[in-house]
Amino acid sequence: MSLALVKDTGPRVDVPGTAQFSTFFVAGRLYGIDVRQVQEVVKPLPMTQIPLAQPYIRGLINLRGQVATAIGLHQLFGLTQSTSRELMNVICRCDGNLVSLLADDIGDVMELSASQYEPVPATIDPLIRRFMSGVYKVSGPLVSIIDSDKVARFLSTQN
Amino acid sequence: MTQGSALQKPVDSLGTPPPGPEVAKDAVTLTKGEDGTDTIQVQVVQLDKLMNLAGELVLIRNQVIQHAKGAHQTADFLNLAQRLSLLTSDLQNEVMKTRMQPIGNILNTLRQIVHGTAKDTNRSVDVQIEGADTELDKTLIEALKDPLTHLVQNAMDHGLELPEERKKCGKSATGQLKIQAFHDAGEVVIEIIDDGHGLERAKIGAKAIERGLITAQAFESMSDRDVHHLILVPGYSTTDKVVDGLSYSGGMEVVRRNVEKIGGVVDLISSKGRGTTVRLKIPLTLAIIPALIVRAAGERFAIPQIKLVELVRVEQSEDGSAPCIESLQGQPVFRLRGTLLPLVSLSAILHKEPANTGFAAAAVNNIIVLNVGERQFGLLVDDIEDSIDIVVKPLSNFLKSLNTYAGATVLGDGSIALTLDVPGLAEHVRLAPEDEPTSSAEGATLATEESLNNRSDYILLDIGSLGLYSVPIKQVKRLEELPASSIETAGEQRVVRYGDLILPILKISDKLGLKVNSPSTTQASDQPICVVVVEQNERLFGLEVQRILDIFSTQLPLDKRATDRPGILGSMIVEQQIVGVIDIGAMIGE
Repeated sequence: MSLALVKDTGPRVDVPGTAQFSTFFVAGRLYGIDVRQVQEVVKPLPMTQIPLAQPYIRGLINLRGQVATAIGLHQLFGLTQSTSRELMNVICRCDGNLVSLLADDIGDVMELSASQYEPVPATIDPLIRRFMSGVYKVSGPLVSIIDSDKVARFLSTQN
Repeated sequence: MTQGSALQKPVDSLGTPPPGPEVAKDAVTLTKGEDGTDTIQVQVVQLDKLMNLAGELVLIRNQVIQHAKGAHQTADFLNLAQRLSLLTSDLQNEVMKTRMQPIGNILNTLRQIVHGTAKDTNRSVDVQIEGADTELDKTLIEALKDPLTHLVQNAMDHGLELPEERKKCGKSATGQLKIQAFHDAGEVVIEIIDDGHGLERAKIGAKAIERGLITAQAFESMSDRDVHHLILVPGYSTTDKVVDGLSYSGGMEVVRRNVEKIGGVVDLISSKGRGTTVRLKIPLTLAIIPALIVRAAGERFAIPQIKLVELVRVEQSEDGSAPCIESLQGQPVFRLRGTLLPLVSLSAILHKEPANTGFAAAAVNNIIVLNVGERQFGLLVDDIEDSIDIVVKPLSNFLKSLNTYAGATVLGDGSIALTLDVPGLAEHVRLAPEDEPTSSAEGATLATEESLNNRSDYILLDIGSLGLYSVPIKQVKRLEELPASSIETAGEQRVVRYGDLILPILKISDKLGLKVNSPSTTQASDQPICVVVVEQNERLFGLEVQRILDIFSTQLPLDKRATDRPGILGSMIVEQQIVGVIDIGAMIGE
């Protein structure tokens, strides 16, 4: 399932119009990432652990010969609930690095309109807030939008 | 390959724009070369991708060969697999060649630096550059830019004297600085040669002792070369003044670290008054390196062969009859041929086990003896798997702070192994206990330092006179037995032909003015003579002795009170006997 070639002509989140988001679940909550930031979504892959690395750096995976670094969103978002089952890989290019965001489940690609957009409410836990660029009020669960650039910035400042 | 703008643009192998039509569009430009041959400009990104693919192909080939040799083997399949193997190797070599660039680009910027600095400091310098067309992997050339700039700056600031000084020493007022690059046995050698005042042994020694890097006794027995290398050791600084916020040896340590990072080695050759040569040995390419795959903490790791000294397998025996791993203050150590080798367990490092839990040796232990700068340590691993060529891939930027890893590699079975960064690992072990200085890991490092600094090795000699004598092994190049007939004379000096050299033969007992024991123990004219070949100031001399008795190692200081004549440095007690230590400098009349 490769989403990289889906070219979205619509404007970005901060501009009125519609945008497409690749959605996924972490600890039962629904998150979305702009499809243009996602390279592809792949099934669980064997992982090589990196001893001494930060707890949210879960390991390295072999993506057709490319080495991707797997980031545990549970750990990154400070969600204590940790699942033992295998996690899906949302592959993004963050700041030149190939990164896999580990999610419990993959949702649909959603086309969301700017009229549904809200900035991040002030009450959101800063642990997650620092990665969010907004919220979409869709029917059903709210979609928290994760900005992979913000994740990349966090990773490079933390290490 | 043309030196077009596309190649000179620095491109991080990972920091490339996402693949898309905008890259492919102008990735290749066709031009007519000056000599009429067609050349094209290719984006480095494109070459990096090709390199990656070639690397992948190598891995697949390895798997196919495994398969061909396995259960499915048929003659045809094996044949095909072997042809695939050959083609893949060729392809890999060719792709590697496309990444090569002449080193001239940076050497020529060095020339500008020299001219600029010469003007600023009122020095007159003649720069020679040789081997500018020597080719090296592009990434290596980038990585060498800083160390080379540093070295040239050093030679200018500290190596070459001011014109007045030079005239006083009888040299021409214009200093000579030569930068040369050439290929040597699969490596690229870059030398920076100045004819300045060279490194001063006494100055370096005094500073190193002051900094606690060596002891005064250790300094006595160190060869000039070892003393010069002290300026590469972390924590050493010899500058009297700091130039532009940059101190000479502080820089040297950084230079060494940067060169080692790309798998290179720094060497120093210096003679007082005549100048200094800094030699860098750099591998041709970093892309594919031989490595040892080991297992620890449930994962596999690759260790670059270049850092590897030897592998030791130790079986623990209950009665202690065989050599086994011992515990020193809770830290594992091993007596490797008489020297205490500190051990660290890779699993323990990676799992951050507290240092004071002690160490329990397994029934069978695998020790990987690794070389870090001037010292060695043993890495305990759970298992040693295989020795293979690996393609090292860089880690994500945000993993760079983990200095224990140099990169990652995809193994033949598709799984990923981390490549260990040996200097980083050593640093990790040493730095860990900084907040708890009493920790035993610190002790392990100190033990190495002590064993290096305080222990000195000597060769015990019978010089044909009463008493025992010895020479420090550091200055000994070789021990030779030469037929008496090979001795010739040059004037009054006895000499032998030694390779291309003429080796002067000096008889220790004569030089010391000692009586020879009795005629019966002196050599008959047809007997071979024992010669200890020593090196002093880069020249070789042969010391004739009656017999070479033994090698011993001691930590005892030299007692200088009991020297009755010039030519004896001092004496020490070895196994209840007094042994005189011969001053080689005095022997050869310095």
